[in-house]
Amino acid sequence: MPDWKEEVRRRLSRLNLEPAHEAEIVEELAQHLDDVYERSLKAGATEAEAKQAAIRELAGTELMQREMRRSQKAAKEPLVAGGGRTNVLADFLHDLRYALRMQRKNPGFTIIAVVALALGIGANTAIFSVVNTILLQPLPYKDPEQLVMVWEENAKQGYPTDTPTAANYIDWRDQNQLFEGMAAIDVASFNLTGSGEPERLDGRRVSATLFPLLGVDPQFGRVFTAAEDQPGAGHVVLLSYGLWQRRFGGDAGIVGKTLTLNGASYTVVGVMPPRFQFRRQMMKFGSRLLLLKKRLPTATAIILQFWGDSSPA
Amino acid sequence: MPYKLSQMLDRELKKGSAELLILSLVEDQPRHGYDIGNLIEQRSRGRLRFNVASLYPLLYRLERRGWIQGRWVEKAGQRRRRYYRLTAEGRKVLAAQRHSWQEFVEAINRITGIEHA
Repeated sequence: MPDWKEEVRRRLSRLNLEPAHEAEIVEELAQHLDDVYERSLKAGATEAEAKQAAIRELAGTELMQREMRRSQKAAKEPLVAGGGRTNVLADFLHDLRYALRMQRKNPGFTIIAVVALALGIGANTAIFSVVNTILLQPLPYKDPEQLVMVWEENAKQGYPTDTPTAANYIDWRDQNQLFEGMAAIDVASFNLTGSGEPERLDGRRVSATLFPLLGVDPQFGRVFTAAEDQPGAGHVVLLSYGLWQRRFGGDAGIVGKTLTLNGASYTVVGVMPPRFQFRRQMMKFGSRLLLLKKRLPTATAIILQFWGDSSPA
Repeated sequence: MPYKLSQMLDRELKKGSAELLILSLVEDQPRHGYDIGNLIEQRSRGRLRFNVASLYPLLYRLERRGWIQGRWVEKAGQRRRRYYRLTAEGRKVLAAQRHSWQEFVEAINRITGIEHA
């Protein structure tokens, strides 16, 4: 039997149809020519006559080419009714429907894509939150640009920004002619006992000069006084707003009451505002607050902090 | 009527009715192209005939309009063939074309007096 596919392909060659599309048309038309050829043979025609009959089927190929071109063009046009090149909405809806169909068809791929997107968005949000807090938002203190953090240089031991000793802090403070004031802070933990369940609390030992430097006032009560920084003065404590709410139920009469911390008695002198934070802002890059991390022998003032919410930081 | 004019009229009539013929033939069951071409030739007793170069462009055009839908079907012991079936849209078009054709033929008949002959 003659190879009709080649015959048909030759006639379609000028159209530059997409290979898959062309292959289907060639197959379909060649089958038809096979049928015509066989029918002619059955009707008693010679092979040559049958071949001629089949070839005649392709007469008027111009019409076929014209129609195929239209068909090809139509295949490239938007399928949405009324969709033209300028119909952006129709194009968008078409794309959307196509995307949904593809997602339904490949649930595995869809899940991977959604998870990847979710992780990406989550990571971006987390990073932005940190950057926003640390870099973009100003420190919530009075004149934050005036605050500097002072370190001791100890590169020999591998600590280019080492924490100064308490004695050094006292020397700096007494000889200071550069800064308006200096303050010291030390990280400490306390066991709260005596009222309800015992609890481990994170806190800071700070010098009385810290709050005037930060320009932060307590929500109520007062901050530490210079007299309370002196050796032998009684233990006093400031509570964070979160701790006051959580542990003491927002007791309005908390000021003046005593707490047992690490087995010693501390008098509550005030409660800090809800938004007051210290440690997180101190992490701000290039942060500029004088800080001493050695415990001062004279430091008797303490601030407990549970920043932002009721859970310990 | 001179022979050439008659040929032209034939050609135009064939063109005008081609869509209706194809839609009618796939109305009840899906058919492949060769089957459709054969049926047109047989049922018109040889008066109407579409060759490959004229039949398939028509099929593709109807398919492009969404009136018929082609699908490759494989049957045991046979080559796979492309069968065309009428779509819901095609069914509506067929009904409308049938009605128009009927009205057209009746109008022509009334004018030419064939009806009363």
